[in-house]
Amino acid sequence: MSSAQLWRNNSPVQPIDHSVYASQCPECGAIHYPWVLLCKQCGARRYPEDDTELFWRKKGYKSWIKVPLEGPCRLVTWTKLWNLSIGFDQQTLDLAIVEFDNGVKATGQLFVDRPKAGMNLVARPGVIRRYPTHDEWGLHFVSA
Amino acid sequence: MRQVGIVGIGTTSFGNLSAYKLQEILAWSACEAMEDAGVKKGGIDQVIVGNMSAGLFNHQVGVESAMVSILHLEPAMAERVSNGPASGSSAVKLAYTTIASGLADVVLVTGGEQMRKLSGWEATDVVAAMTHPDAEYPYGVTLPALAGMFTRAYMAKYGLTGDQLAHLAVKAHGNAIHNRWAHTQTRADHAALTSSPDAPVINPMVAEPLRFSEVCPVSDGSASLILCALEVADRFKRPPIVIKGIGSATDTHCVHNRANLLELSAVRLAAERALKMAKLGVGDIDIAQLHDAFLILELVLAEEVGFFERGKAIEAVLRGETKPDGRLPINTDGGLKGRGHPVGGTGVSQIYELVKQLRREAEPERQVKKDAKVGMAVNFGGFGNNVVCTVVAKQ
Repeated sequence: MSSAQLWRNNSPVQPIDHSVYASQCPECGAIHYPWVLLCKQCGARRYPEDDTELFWRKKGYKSWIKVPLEGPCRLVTWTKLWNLSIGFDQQTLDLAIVEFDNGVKATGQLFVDRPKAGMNLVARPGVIRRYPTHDEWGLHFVSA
Repeated sequence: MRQVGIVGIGTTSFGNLSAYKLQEILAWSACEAMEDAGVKKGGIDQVIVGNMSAGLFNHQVGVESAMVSILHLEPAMAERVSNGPASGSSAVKLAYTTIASGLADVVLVTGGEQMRKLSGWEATDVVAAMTHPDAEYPYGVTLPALAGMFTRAYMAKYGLTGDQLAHLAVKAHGNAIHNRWAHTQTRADHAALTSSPDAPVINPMVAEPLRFSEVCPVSDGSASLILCALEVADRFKRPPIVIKGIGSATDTHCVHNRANLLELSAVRLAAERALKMAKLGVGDIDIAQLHDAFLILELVLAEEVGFFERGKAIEAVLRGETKPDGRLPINTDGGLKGRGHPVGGTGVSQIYELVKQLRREAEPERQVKKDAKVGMAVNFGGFGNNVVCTVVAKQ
């Protein structure tokens, strides 16, 4: 076995999480997307989630809760964009705003043949932009 | 606080000025304004430049210092103000507070942008960079995309049609062809835009349901004002137009986070604050400049300010009430759609047009017929997330 294979076989490979998350305030339960540093409802602070949290954390601080943005949602409005920014190698791009059952609204890319306001959709992670070095993941909205 | 007036105005032509340097474009309108006011050498205390993003459009920073130097205005104080497409009005607001507080007596305000050195794709991307960096921009969201989604929701609620929006395009172009500085100098024909066999080709979709004729052009250009304390206005050769009120307000960065997608609360609040400061009501406004980067915005802004009931602005447009000879002339210079939209310059050029109209110096074909005394400009930053409203009046 080559050293490269040995390294690969013994590396703790972490599955990459491509999900998109909202954040829920631990004090009052309000959900925010995208993430914020102060709760719009009760004003509670959010501190960094990594190790520096130990530095910032005050006694009794509760971490904010990650709420995955996926599953059933409802189409609010949409557009087919014909005039794209640089970086998109396609003729058109369908974009939409949806609302989830918990009241959170989000913008994402739409993959539906005949969109209609109010129709039921499903949100799931997908590639939203391709760069030479990597793919960027975000929200895809597809038919329910 | 001291009262503040506008004693000089200047503009460049709007359009493709890519043969020039950015500081030249800015200084060109500044020279016009200084000549108009009769400013003597050393007479400018402060320079304020409204510019959204010279760093990205022109790879240039410190444009305010570059402009001071090209005009030999040293040692005047100088700053640049950036507030997206409302940078121009924010620059006027800073100039107002600078004079009102007593920090300066005479301020040169210039708003301008040079966007056409980049390709259309690149310029679209630079403007899109003002959308949310995580929840909007990476998806390919652009300002036209947000306007397209907004327009679809508005049409569904109020029954507005593309055919009706095309009448706004005809009005915008009809005013712009009488404005020698405007970017578009062609008359728009309603049938050609909507029902002719060529319509899908000459008027293609940009962000459905918005078509090409309903979206402003990408422009280079600048406009300038000379502001002064009213107590020193007799130094200048033009009688002052007084800034009676300025208000601004913000809304959520992400459009999807608004409780009601069709309410532009920052527009309403900015207008209320400006009118309260001016001690005027919405019925006192004789003429308005509304930020129609997308034609739907001329309707929605007019409704948010309170000129018309929600969903009813289009009826007033179709009755001709917003034409130069109408009850409430709106965007007499062609608006952003007709005159053009160099993002950082638009707010200043809106006030330039109000002053021109209140002085009764506009071209006869677009000079308002009524004896206008009070004008309002609404300058719209982002997609309504940072709005500035200015009320000016004859002394």
